Amino acid sequence: MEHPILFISLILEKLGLPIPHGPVGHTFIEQLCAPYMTYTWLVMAFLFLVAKLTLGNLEMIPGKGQNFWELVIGGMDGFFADNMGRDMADKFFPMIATFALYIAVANLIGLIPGFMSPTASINTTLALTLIVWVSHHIIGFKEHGLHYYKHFMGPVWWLVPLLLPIELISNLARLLSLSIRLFGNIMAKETLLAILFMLAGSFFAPLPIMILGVLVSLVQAMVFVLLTVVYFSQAKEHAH
Amino acid sequence: MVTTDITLFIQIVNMVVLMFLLNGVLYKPIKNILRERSEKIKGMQENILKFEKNAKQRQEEVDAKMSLASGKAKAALDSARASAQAEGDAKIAKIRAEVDAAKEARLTELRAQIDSARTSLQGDLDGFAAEMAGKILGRSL
Repeated sequence: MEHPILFISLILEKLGLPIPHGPVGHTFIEQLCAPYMTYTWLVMAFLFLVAKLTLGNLEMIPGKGQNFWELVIGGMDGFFADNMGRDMADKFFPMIATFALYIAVANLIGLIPGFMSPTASINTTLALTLIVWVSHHIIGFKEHGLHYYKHFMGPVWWLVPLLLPIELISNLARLLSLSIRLFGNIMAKETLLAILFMLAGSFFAPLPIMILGVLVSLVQAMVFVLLTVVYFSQAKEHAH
Repeated sequence: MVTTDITLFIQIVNMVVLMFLLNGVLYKPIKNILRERSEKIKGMQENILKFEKNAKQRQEEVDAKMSLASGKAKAALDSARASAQAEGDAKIAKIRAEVDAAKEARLTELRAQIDSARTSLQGDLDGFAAEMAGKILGRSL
């Protein structure tokens, strides 16, 4: 998604770097300077710096910043432990919590003029989805060994010819559903906002969509995390 | 717009880097402090239970000691009362005996005086009768 006033792209252009003038770049440097890449690094820096600056000296009686993070991290930890078990939650907390924070912030910054949601690119959402997809198979194989194939065989042997293709397709479809759902929602929001800005920005036309955008951004982050937790816990469960 | 390229793999690397970064600066410290706090609260709760148990035990000990002391005090009071009673009785008996002895001595003395008076009066009676008869008759007997 291209935005008319992406400030990082403007700065990089002033510095003489090749900024792609289409949805994707053609050379390697152009691909690196694509807005979804630069804004990904911005979100990463933002999350790192905010975490670093709000957590000074950790104390038993928390201050404002520590209190906020304790609420967020404690809440996510409890949710993951309830749905995946304490062991899995401890093991995969950094991964899923990072996805939650990154997707939420990446979705939301697109609502600010001059910023772009990195999640409005399929490369970003597919990268996240690939990590989840590969991880849930690793969990399955680690938990069940080679018997993990039973997850794809259905409940009775004579249904295997029917269910094996269905299960394989449904499992591969997770790649598409997770990545395209997030990408589609956020790209639609970005496109709609850009169009409304161009058409009637001075009449505050994008404002209602921006309010909906906040909701969509948070809901999509929650859906991605929820599905990740469900896939992980399903991979750990015994096959029926 | 839906073209995938090399940036897909760079984004995977970015995500892994972000996981490590946030794990270091955010997740680990916050989870550690949450764990420390829950352990501290657990320790405090154990201490509270221990203190409550101790207080209950102490109260029971105090109650037992109070009951023992109360029993002892009652026994001492009863014993003191009994000994005071016995001592009082003995003193009263002694005083009574002394009084009886004094009364008896006095009575004996009075009886002796009465006898002496009677004897003296009996002696005088004959002379008095003769004198009266002489006065009535006008002559000496």
